[in-house]
Amino acid sequence: MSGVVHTSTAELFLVGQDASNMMGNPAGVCYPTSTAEVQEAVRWARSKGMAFIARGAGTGLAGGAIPTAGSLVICLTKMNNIRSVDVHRRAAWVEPGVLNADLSRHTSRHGLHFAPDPSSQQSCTIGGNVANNSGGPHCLSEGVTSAHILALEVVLPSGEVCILDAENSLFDLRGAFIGSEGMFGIATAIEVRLVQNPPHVSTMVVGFASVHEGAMAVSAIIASGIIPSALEMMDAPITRAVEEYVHAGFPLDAAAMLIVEIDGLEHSVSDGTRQVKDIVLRFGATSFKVAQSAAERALIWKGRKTAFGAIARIQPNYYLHDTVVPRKKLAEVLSQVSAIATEEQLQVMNVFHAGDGNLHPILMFDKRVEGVMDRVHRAGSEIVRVSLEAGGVLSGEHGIGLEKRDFMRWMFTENDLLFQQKLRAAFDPEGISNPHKVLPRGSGCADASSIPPGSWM
Amino acid sequence: MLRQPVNLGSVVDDLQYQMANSDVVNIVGTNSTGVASSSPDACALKAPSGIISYEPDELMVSIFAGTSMSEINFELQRVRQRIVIPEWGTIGGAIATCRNGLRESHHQTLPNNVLQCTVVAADGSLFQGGGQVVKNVSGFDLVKLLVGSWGLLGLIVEVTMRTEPIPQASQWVQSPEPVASEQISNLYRPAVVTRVDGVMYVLLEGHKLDVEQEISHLHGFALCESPNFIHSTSLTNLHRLSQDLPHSIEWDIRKQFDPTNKLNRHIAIQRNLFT
Ligand SMILES: Cc1cc2nc3c(=O)[nH]c(=O)nc-3n(C[C@H](O)[C@H](O)[C@H](O)COP(=O)(O)OP(=O)(O)OC[C@H]3O[C@@H](n4cnc5c(N)ncnc54)[C@H](O)[C@@H]3O)c2cc1C
Repeated sequence: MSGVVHTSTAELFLVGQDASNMMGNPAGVCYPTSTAEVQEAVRWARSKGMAFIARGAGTGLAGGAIPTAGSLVICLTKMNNIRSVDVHRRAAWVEPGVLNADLSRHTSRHGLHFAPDPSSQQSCTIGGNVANNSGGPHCLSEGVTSAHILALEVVLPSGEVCILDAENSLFDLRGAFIGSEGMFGIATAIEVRLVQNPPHVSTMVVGFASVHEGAMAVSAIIASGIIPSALEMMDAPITRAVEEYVHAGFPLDAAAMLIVEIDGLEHSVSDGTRQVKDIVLRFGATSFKVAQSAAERALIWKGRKTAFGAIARIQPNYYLHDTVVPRKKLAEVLSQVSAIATEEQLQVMNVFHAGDGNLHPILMFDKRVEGVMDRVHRAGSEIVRVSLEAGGVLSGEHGIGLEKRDFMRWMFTENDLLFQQKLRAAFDPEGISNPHKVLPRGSGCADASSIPPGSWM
Repeated sequence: MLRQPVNLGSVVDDLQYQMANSDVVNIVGTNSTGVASSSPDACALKAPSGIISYEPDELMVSIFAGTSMSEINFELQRVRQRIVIPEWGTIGGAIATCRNGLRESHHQTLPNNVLQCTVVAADGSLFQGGGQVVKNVSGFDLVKLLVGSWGLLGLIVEVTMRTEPIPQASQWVQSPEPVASEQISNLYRPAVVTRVDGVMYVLLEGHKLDVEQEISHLHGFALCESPNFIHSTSLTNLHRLSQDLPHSIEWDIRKQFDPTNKLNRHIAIQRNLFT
C-alpha cells in the first residue's frame, strides 16, 4: 500500500485545497480504482494511526475536502465508471468519481437524466454530490441529491464494506449518510435514480426595475401554487458581467432578472407560462421573454451556470456565500446583504436559487489589499446572522465543512449538536473519517484527541 | 436566534417519569400499528396534537406530532394544499413508520417532505433536526434518520412539513388484464403505479387536459375511484432482518439515542436491535 501513497510536495499541494480559500496538511494521497483498494487504503491509514479523507473533484466551497490532522487523502477520481444503467427501473449504479454532467450525457440516449444539476456539474463528482447533498437550479421541483439516491455502497471507517439502502436496514442509513460530508465513511458505488426528460420546457427571462420587485414576484409565483422546475435570480451587476461574457440576451437595463422555467406535459407548461407572465407583470416586470428554441434555452442556462467565471473579469477574488431564508423574507434579507457589503466597502453580486430561498451573495475583492480579508469575513458572518434572524439556516447546498463549523451554535442548541455527534459516532466512533469538520469543538466531538502535534488545525 | 421551545404541555415530564419508573415505554399515535397492544402492560406516550402554524404561501406547516392526518388535510384543503400521506393515524406515526403510500415520484415521498423534527429524547432532553426552510444542508441529517425510526430514537413531538398544491386533476385508472410495460413507461411521471391482486392501478395527476391526454394513450384501462387497498403498516411487516449491513451501526445508533433500551422495546427486540 505504501508504494501507491504519493507524497510529493506538488501533489500534496494540489490535494491540500479545494474551491474554498483554505489550505490543509495532507500526509499523502492515493488514487484507488476499486472498492477493494479503497478498503485497503482505509485499513492502511488505520494501521498507521492516521485519519483519512475522501476527495472528489475538490470543487466544494466550505472546505469539506481540506485535509486536517495529517490525513491520508483518498482521491476517487479514478473510480469513474458507470457500472450499469437499468432503463426499465430508471436507475444506474455509478462509481463515485463519475462527473455529474457525464452521467446525464451518458443516459440522455434513453431520454433520462440525473436531476441534481449544481452549477459545477461539468467538474464535480457524484460522490461529492452525495457527501454534500448538493443542489442545483432544477432541484426546486426535483428535490436535492438525497431524493435521487437509491442505494450506496460504503467503506466504513472500520474498513468494512456495506450497502445502505431501503431493504437492508430499519433506519434510513442511506438518508443519514447523504450530506455527511465524508465523515461517515467513503461512498464507493452509488445507485442513482434517473428521471424522464420533460417533453415540454418553457424558459422565461424576466427583467425588473428593482431587486425588491423581483423578490416579491418570486414569493408570489410560489404562493400561486405553480412549482416551476427552476426559479433563479440574478442582480444587475452579475447580469452585466455574464452578458459581456456569454451574450445570452439578458436584459441589461434591469436591476434584477429572473429565470423561470416550467417543464412537464403540454398544457401544464403552456398554462404555467401564462400564469407566470400574469404574475410578473403584476409585480412590475419591465421585460418578459420566452426562449424560442433549445439553443436559446441552452444559452440562458450557460449564462446562469458560468456566472462565476464571469466574475473573474471584475475582481481577482471572490467569496461565495450560501444561506437559506424563508421565501417571503427574500427582499428584506437581500437589502440587508447589500447594506452589509456597503458597510464593509465590498462589492456584492447576487445570483441564486430564489425559488428555494437559497441566497448566494458573492463578495468581490482583491486579496492583495491590506485588511480586506477581515472585512470579507466580517461581512460573511453578518450575512449568516441576518439569514438566521430571518428564520433561515446556515447552508442550503455547500455544507458546513470548516467554513461554517463555528457558526453551528448559532443555529443549533448544544443538545441538537450532541445528537448529531451521536449519529456520527455510530458510523465513526474514533473520528478518523474527515476529522474536525461540521461539528464545533466541544459538542461531544471526540475528533480533537487524534490531531498530531504541529498540524494545521 | 435559536427558536423558542414550543409549549409541549406535560409530555417532557411524562416521558421522564415513565422512563424512570417503567421498563418499557411505548410511543403511540392512534395505535393503528398496534404498538400499544403488543405490550398492553406498558405505558404509552403520545405527542400533543394541533396545528402550530401554517403558512400556505411558504408551502409549509408546523404541527404537533399527535395531530391526525385527517385534521391536517382538512385544514390544508381549505387553501387547496395537501400532504400526501395516507389519511389514517397521526402525522407523528406516519413519520415514525415512514408511511409513504404508493407515490412514485420522489418529490412527493415522505422523507423529502419532512423539514424539521423536534424530539423528546430518551433522557428527557429536547433536540431538533432540520430547519424551517425548504432546502438545508446544515449539519448531519437527523430528520432522515428519524423518518422510519419506529419510536426507537425518541418521541417526535413537533414537525414542520412541506405542503404541496393539490393538482388540478387526479384520476385513477385500472386494468385487470396484463399490461405491456411500455404503456406504463411511456407515461410521463405518473403519481402511482401499483399492482394489487393482478389488477394494475395507475394514478395520474396534473393539468386536467394533460391527464385526459395521458389516459387517452392507455389501452385496456378503465377509470376508477381511488382504490381502498392501502392497508396500515402493521408490525408484521417489520420482520425483515438486516443482511449486508453490519448490525453495529443500527445498534450503535439505538444505544446512542436510548441507552436504557426502553423506548418501544418490543420493536427493538423484533429487529434484533436489543442488546
Ligand atoms: C463554481 C462553483 C459552482 C458551484 N455550484 C454549486 C451548486 O449549484 N450547487 C451545489 O450544491 N454546489 C455547488 N458547488 C459546490 C460543489 O461543486 C459541490 O458541493 C460538489 O458536490 C462537490 O463535489 P466534488 O466532487 O468537487 O467534491 P469535493 O469538493 O472533492 O468533496 C466535497 C466533500 O465530499 C466528500 N467526498 C467526496 N467524495 C466522497 C465519497 N466518494 N464518499 C464520501 N465523501 C466524499 C469530501 O470529503 C468533502 O467533504 C459549486 C462549486 C463551484 C466551485
